[in-house]
Amino acid sequence: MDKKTIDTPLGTIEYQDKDRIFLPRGIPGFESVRYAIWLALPEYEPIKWFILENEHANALPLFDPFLVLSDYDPVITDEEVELLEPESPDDLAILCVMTPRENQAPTLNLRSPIVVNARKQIAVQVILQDETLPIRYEWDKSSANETQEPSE
Amino acid sequence: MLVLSRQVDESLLIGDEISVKILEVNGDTVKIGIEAPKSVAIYRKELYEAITEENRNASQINSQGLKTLSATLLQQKDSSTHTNDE
Repeated sequence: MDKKTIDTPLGTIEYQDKDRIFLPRGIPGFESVRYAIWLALPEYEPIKWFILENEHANALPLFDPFLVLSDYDPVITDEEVELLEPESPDDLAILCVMTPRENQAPTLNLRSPIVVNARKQIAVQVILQDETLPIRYEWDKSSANETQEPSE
Repeated sequence: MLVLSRQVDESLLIGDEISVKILEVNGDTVKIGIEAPKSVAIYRKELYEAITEENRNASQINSQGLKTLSATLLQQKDSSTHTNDE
């Protein structure tokens, strides 16, 4: 396997060609970026990463929305499906951008998930029509209600 | 900026593939119908800008804070798998 490295705000990271994902539409805010490196780093699990191939190697934290919202059901358009070229729905993974906030719980962008076809190495950050989905979902609050017991 | 006046039911064309029609005017609100090829993504500008801002904020990494957060998340995940069937 041909290993490569990239210097990122998270340090120097090793990756392989199969981790490199094509972004046909770029990413809102980083429209000119055409490739990202999709990684999981042990010290940050369960957070995943898109390292953007731009001069700053911006690192975008991603989170599996189904870990916190089992009934999350994003509907993407035919055009977006075409861009992603899946052979079956199982080819597509869905991740939400996580925004860490100072002195506050992080939030998840449910309105605009990143849909990845890992097999074809293509990803699109879609913007869903469902206006009830928040851009800043405070999942920590709700997961705390569901799962955390007062301990210690 | 190009400024054009249109009445209800009148349209304008952007290139030869995108047509924008004024459907209804009600006080401050204008209802607009847009016909465009599927490859053209159409969003409310403020929504796109909000997502842009969110992506930029998310990429302002504080790696130490994220490691702490990651540890908290792992704990929560463990406790949620343990308390699944109450």
